[in-house]
Amino acid sequence: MFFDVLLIGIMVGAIYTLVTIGYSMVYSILKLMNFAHGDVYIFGTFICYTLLSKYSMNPLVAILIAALLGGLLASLVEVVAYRRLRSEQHRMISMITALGAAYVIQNSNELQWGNQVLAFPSILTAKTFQLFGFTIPITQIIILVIAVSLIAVFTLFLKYHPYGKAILCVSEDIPTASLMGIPINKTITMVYFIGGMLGVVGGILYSTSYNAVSLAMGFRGTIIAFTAAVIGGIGSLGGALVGGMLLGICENFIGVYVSSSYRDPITFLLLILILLVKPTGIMGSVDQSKV
Amino acid sequence: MLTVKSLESGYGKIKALFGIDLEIKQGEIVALIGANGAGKTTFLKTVSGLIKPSGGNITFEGKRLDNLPPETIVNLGISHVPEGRMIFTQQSVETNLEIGAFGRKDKKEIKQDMQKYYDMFPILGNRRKQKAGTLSGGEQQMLAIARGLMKRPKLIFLDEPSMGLAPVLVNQIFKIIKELHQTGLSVLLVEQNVKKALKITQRAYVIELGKIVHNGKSSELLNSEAIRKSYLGEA
Repeated sequence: MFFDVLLIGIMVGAIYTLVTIGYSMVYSILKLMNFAHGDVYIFGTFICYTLLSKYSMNPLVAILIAALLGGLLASLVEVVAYRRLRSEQHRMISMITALGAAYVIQNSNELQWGNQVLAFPSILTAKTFQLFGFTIPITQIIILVIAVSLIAVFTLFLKYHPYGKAILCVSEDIPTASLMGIPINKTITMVYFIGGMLGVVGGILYSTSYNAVSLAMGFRGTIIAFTAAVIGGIGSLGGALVGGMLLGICENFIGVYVSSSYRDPITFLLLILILLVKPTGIMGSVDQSKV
Repeated sequence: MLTVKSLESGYGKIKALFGIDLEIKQGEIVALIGANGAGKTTFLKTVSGLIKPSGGNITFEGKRLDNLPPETIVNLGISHVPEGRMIFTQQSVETNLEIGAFGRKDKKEIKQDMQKYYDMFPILGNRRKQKAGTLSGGEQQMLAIARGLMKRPKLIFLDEPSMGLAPVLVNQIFKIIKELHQTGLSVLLVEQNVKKALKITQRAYVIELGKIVHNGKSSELLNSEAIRKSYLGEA
């Protein structure tokens, strides 16, 4: 039992990490809470739902199309709702347009897919295998592998690809990055695109493992991403991983051993406690060394 | 090479430059000196595209620069080493240099250039894997200059390179600037250390409250009564 719960927790944690990465990167560059993040990822998940259930498309192709469309929507939100406000002194202004963008997407999603819970098709095998006496569902392993490899690919991209390094520099200092010849607008749009794509994949993996997709999961996605990012240390990739994992694992243990109705209150109580002890988040550090 | 005519600029409604004329010829080393708040940094930021000018025009090798974004201007050949060094503290020394070469496709020559600056500044070579934020002020300044050179610029802006450095390092930085000029690079040097700046430059402009009030040969300005009084603290 304990092991099963832990495994599911890790899987959910990996999914949360995927959803959190985009949110956290956007925050680290623009200091903007991207309220539309969850609605973008649920849009992509809905797209995948339609492609699978209405058109019986090959799951891999469906995920790819959904992720691309999600990435495009995320970039569109950036170009339309945030870009022009970037130079504004008051971040509150872009916070409001972010909220506006979130509602526009949410309501469009509702018009298209309604507000009921829809049955998301299982795209992964339901088979299990035995390991050291435990019964392990293959689905969870596949999901874990997909999520972890995407996180790894993105980490390597940031560390070694010129554009990855450019993203890190832009997140440290936008004017100086532009003096280096880094195209700022392009880089930021790219961050939104990647973040949106990873979020959609996370949403699809989540929906396929619970066989459900609903409008409400969009808003919850934004909250999860925000919470995981803050717990882990906002702006850092390691932070997104730690925060996402912690949230996923805690949630599942509380859901099983306490009660699923206490899942969110206890999880968020934990958030408050962690922040009281370490306000910068677990992996976060105070920006040092600006001599 | 660079021709600036009646440049006006500022921050929002607050104007900081009131019609600046300035010229830098190919291979020249020119100083822009003035007190705090006179508009030196604003001038550099406007030419390199960080601030949009509100009037006048900027031409570099026959091309209009005003209203181009900074990432385009640097690719045309003007490198701006900003005040306060502004290195990427969370990135390694090596990454800082690589980012300085952003957009260059000649990988092999980028490596050679990096090696060149590691040889020029051995301390950077020794610490290439270290986070740039762990370097001392002088080392960070060397990194900022090397990073600015990685683009292989034709003209380099140096904004207060000696600020906050120990005297021995100040001398070293000025020596480096002189050497860079001798390799054929054109330099615009903004400095509060007026005496030293005038000693290593050929010509100089003096800016006061957003206007050029003197300009001429550095050696002549160094001996001029007005400059000695206002900037060198001599009676």
